[in-house]
Amino acid sequence: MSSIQIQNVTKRFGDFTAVDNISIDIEEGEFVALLGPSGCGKTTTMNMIAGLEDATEGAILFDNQDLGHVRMQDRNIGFVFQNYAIFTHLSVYKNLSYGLEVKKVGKSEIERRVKAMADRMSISHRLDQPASSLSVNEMQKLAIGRSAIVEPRIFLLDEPLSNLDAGFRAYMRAELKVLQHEFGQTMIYVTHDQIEAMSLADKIAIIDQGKLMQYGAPLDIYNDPQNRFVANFVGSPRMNLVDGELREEQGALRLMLHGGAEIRLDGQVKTAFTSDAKVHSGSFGIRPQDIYFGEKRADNDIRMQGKVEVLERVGPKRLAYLQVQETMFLAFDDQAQLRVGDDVPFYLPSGASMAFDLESGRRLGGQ
Amino acid sequence: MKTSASAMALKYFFVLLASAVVLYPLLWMVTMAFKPYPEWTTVSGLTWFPQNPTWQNFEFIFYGHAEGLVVSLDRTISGPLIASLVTSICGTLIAVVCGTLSSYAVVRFGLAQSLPLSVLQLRLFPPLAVMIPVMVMWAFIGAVDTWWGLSLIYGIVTLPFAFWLMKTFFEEVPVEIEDAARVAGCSYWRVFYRITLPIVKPGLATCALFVFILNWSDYLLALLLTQKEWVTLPVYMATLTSAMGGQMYGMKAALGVIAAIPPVVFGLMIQKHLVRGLTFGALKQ
Repeated sequence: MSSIQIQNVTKRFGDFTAVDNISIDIEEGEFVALLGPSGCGKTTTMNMIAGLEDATEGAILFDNQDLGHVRMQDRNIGFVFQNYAIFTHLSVYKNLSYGLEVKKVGKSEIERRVKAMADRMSISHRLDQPASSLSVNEMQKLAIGRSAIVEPRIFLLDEPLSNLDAGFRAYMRAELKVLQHEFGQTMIYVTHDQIEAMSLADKIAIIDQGKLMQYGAPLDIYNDPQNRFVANFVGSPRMNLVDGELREEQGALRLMLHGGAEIRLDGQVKTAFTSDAKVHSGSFGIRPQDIYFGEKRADNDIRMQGKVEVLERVGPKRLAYLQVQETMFLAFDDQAQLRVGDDVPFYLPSGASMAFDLESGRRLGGQ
Repeated sequence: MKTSASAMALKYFFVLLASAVVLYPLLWMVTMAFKPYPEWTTVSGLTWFPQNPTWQNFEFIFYGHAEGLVVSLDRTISGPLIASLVTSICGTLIAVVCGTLSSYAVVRFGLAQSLPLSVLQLRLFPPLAVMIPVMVMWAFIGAVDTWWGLSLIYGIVTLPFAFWLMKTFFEEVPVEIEDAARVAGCSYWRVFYRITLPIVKPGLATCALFVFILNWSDYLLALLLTQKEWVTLPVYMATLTSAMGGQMYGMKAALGVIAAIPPVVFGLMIQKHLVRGLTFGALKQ
């Protein structure tokens, strides 16, 4: 078990900057998810931690010790690859014992640990079979078992669940959480699936185009996104984010939406938009579950009028697509009274709304 | 259905036709090898199968003379057979070892990116075009008519083939498998010979067989670079003529049968790998 400090790490491939000055502190035993869209640099960051790639600039410390000159084979890392990277020419047993053999662990000890791990991952009935005969789900278990068996200092997982079917993915998600508690190891988990990251990780680092957008606990990130990218990326269904130009007329501040509609800003969100006088175009954000229908609940809440285009069932609730001129708002039908085609008023609570600078994407007036 | 039945018939017709075209010379070679001298030529009328089967032709090339034949050979098959085996095997080793290591370096470490094309250039012109300077060079280093001289040129000439074949096989190996082994604590070299090589074993076997066949069937290089000691089977075969009997077809056929044995045996030995090797790229990881 180790703590990891990623300090101002940059990675360039020729002219392309894959990772741009990222700093992340990971405490001992923490489960951290690197979350971002495909090609954002999260896997490159992971590879640098593992030592598969060298950082162009910056340093990566394990327990305050720079690993820049430590060879990969001496770093004692567990790595689970997206495509599992099972040694298909070897048996399941040999796959599990491989890391121990390389480390010259005694034969009886190897046998004991392989048996225990095979039991733990419930693949012991397959031990003597060639690894190529395993199902995808079993390969996934084998890949995790093979990495865990050497009791690594840290455990790296690169999108380990992305090739699994939905049912098994949910099962493995729970299983990984259990495993992490059992092993008590520092784990870093790369994923583009925000639900996976939200449900598994102690902390999430959100990366976009090589830059660290936000790093923190899942709920903090969800409740308090620091920029437009994070607000848009985290949450399901996604936050409503509408862009427009700020216009002040007779003391009233409006966001003239690019779709034609306007939002008459009020309350906290108005204060947020006015916090920086240089900002002229902004992005207004509100989560679907914060929008409500019916009676106005607070003075500052912003009234809108929209037409119900689609009603979509999401679990026990219905998600309404509300068309306001060319702009679409998503909201949960909290009173179960909407019908498609209705022209209804709805309210955007000012306190739950977020303001972003459209140019830089940064949150305005946040905590 | 009528159409599919006639389509099947047509398919089999073409398969049989293709097989006949391929197998006919083989059949002729084998039957000829067992025909006595009078049956080689049209004098007594050509027949499909030997009328009086005999081992005479084999006897002749192994002992240099045979009962009932007035001609004799000054050189039996044993020398050329050994020469062919030694030079083909050594040449194959050189090509496969160098080709494997260099293509791995190119594929995995991105080294020498110009190497694939420049290696390919070795095969872009007819070997004869460079044989004069090669002969001069080989004479200069004393490599003419030696086993190592011929092995060396075989290795060089077939290297592009081995290089490109192994390159495609290595490209099929997911880099993550090697990374997984490295993370487990393996050095680069150990990853290569413990993980990567076993995975590409089918490809390696296929490559070795093809290169061996190329070397084994070479006539031109051996003709130019050997004189007496290390004459190989194809060159030896061309010498099987006599002033009295003309072309000694029966002996040549017998020699052909013997020369076909090593590649066939080699092929059968690696048959299991061969199917896998030829379809390597088509399989999912």
